[in-house]
Amino acid sequence: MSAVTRLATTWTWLYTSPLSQMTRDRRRAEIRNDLAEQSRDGRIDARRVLLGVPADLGWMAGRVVSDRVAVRLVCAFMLASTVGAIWVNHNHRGSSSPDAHVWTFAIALPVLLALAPFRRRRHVERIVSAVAYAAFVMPPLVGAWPLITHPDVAALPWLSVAALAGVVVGGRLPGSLWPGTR
Amino acid sequence: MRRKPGSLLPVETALLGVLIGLPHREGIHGYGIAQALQDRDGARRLTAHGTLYKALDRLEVGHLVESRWEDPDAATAGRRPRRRLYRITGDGQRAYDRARLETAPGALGRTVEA
Repeated sequence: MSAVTRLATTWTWLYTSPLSQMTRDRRRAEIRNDLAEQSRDGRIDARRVLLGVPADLGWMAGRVVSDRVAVRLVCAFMLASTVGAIWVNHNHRGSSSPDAHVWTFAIALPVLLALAPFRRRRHVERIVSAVAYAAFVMPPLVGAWPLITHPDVAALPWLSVAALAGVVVGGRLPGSLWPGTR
Repeated sequence: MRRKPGSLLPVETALLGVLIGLPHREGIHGYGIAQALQDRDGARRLTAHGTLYKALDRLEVGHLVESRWEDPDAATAGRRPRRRLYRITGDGQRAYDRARLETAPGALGRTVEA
């Protein structure tokens, strides 16, 4: 292996390290192939690596940010749902049906978050979150969950389970953005 | 500075131009694209790795090109790492035509006349 090939391989290994496994493996494999083809042609040139460094860094930064933004949005969804459910349950206690503003709050949250600026093809987390919300938040909201004995805290363990399920299930679905799974 | 949505950078337009002009129905790998770009533009050097793959990634995210890994048997037979093969999409062809129209001299005049 020539020094330039080693330089390119090491550099690629470095700047792809913070990325998710799928993105990382793909870029490394592409560069490996590119270097092999170039080497076969006898046209290995260190400038091809060095001149691309700013673009590599820009690409890496964009990927890291978009991965984190997506995960952050899902976490925000879960957190907002938890807070919303606790708040709604608290206000709902003792009355036969939640007030209109409580319902508005409960419905507006998932709608707002469902419209969050996920990029194309990043619908897996959205679906998982919506299912988790429907399964774990809505029943306590309408008081239909038979296991709830204390409305103030009931949503929290269920939401924890929902968040965990979101991570486990969402991370295994194609197109997921959960770190380390893409 | 933010890019105008839907606009193409010069390197992206050049890549699309190369992909349109290539006869490979199966697609072409990154190094092949760099070579074709160099031949077309008469450049002294091949496009840098970072510039090339970043632009291809952006085009793919925008659905202007599509890519796939080649058959592992082909790589084994060729005794080399697998190639990622790129191909232009219908959207990519339209985007390229639009970009050429916008950058062509007298494009505004032609548009008005049309």
